[in-house]
Amino acid sequence: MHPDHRSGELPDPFIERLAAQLREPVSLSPEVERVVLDRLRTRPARRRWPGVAGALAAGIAAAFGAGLLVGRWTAAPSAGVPSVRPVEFALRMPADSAVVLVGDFNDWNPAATPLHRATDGVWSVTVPLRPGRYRYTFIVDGTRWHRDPAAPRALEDDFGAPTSVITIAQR
Amino acid sequence: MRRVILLLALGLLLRSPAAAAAQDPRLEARLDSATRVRVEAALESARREGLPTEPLVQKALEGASKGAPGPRIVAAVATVLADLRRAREALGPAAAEDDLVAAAAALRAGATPAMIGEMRRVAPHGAVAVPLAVFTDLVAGGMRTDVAWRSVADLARKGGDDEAFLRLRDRLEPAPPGSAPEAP
Repeated sequence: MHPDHRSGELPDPFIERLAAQLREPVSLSPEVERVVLDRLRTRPARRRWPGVAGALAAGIAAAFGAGLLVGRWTAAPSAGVPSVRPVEFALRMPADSAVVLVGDFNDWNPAATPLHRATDGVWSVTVPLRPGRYRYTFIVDGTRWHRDPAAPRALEDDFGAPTSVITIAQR
Repeated sequence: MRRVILLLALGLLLRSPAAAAAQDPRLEARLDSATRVRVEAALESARREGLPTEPLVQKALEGASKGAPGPRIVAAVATVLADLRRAREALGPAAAEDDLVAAAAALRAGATPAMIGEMRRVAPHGAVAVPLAVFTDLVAGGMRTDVAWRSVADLARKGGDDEAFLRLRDRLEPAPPGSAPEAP
């Protein structure tokens, strides 16, 4: 942090001089003042919009604005949004060289969530999850699919590879 | 002036959330064009009907990740959509997304719409997501549908909270400690 910005320091004389100049009222020539005032007086009359087109545009703009606001409200964290919990996934595979996690929480992307190996051959990773139900599985050495032996099996294995499921409860 | 207003309105319509949501970039990157078109049609149907689309997207991405052929992905997505429709019929139009997803899975596991409706009535605060998820897990673990249902419904009538349902599942279907992972 720059020392000049510390609180309790005396103000910089140059900054003070500049601020004093900015506080001075700006005087306009009578001609400029007249033109500005004329414009201000006539503006309301010139801003009248054609009735139907104006109403249509205003309605669409209002709906669009409301949509944006709703989108922001729903996307932003709030008191009603469930909190995220760290959830650890682990798989004991001492003889293998890579394990990744894919599931509903990472778009089933094999590059998104690699597990890290501990000395005992257990691979693990912690993923922040909101309350809900997630299907997932492990990919070992890039080719072999393994479901989590410590979690319930997913009933709907639509694609033939074993899948597990985890349910995170609300607190 | 009128032309400017109409152009502005057209631009706003094209930038609307509905138009932006019509194509999911995640699908574009992972599915071939024929499969993507059919999956996006299912997504559009779900949107029109007010059903959640994320379970459909995830099903398609799961299929892509597992190397499933396009028609199989489309069929799986269509099944999820059908399950969600049945779930909403059972739970009503105001059902929360988590409840709908859990009910869809429970229906697939063998629950009937009447059972889902009953759970809605007896579950604390009408929140059925975790009770139905536990029912599905128990059936997936090999328990008979009627036995699994009785266990879950009894706990719901007693006012069990979400954690109690998860404990029930762990008690009835303990995870095999140190068991070898299942081969594909």
